[in-house]
Amino acid sequence: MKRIIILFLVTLLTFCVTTVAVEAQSLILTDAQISDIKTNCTSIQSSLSRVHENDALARVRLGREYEAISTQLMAPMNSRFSLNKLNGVTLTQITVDFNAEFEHFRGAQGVYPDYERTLSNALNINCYNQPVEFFDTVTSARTKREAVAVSTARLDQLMAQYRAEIDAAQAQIPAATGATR
Amino acid sequence: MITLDDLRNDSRSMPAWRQNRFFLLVGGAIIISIILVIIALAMYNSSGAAQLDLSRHAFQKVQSEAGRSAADDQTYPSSGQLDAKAFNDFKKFYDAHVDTIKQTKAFDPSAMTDEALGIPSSSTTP
Repeated sequence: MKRIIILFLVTLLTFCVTTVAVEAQSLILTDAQISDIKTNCTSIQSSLSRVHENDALARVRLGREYEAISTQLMAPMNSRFSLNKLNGVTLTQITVDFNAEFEHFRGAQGVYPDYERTLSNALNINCYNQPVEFFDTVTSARTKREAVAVSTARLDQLMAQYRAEIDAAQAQIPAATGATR
Repeated sequence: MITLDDLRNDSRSMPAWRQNRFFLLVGGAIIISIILVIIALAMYNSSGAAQLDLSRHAFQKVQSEAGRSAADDQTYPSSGQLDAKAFNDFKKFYDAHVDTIKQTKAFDPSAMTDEALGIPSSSTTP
């Protein structure tokens, strides 16, 4: 029994050490690379600052449009379907999914605030004095930015689905009467 | 009749904190306001409002570009018949918003590559 436990512990330890070594390797910078970051510190910070500004503007614009689509278009349309005794279950489900994804995008613990905090941290790090920490934070911000892009792509996909459902619903309603069922 | 000496004697007999009540009031008000400001700033940062606040110094350059479009104020009526006109009106509003979103072209991954940021490409260690 003791042998099995020891064998298990040794295996676990080997796995942990290997994992840590692989992670550490990807973040190690050579002296030349550190020197390059220090040399280009000002221009890197400037580029990063521009990305920060553009992303903040995009977030404000997108947030406003998503909010309008959800509250000023989807919700009233779903209500109208219901009042006209039409089957709007699919539309309602898409709206629920859209709102959930929107919250995932903008919520306090959502993907965008998380990304913005990381990018702000990167901008606050002095890349001349702390090049390694700066590079790690930029790498982390890049990963989080990809998560934001995935979230917006999902929102766009849900908007397209909703639009397609509206087309399908319109096609089912007799054009001649143009009235409710 | 109360004389000035009586008042002085009374004040001498008061405990120290009562003699400085006015300063305690001012100091207390300052401390309470500092605590409230700290709480407000913590809420501002944790709620996500800070990320949307284009009046922050870091976003001064893009403030003017965040104007509202005419489509933002249009709300589709939640009641009424669902005829062809109703659908077409809805699609017109909806497409206007979708077009604005498409034009925004947000979070393009190429904006954060090493090359775009000016980080030497050799920085990514194999």
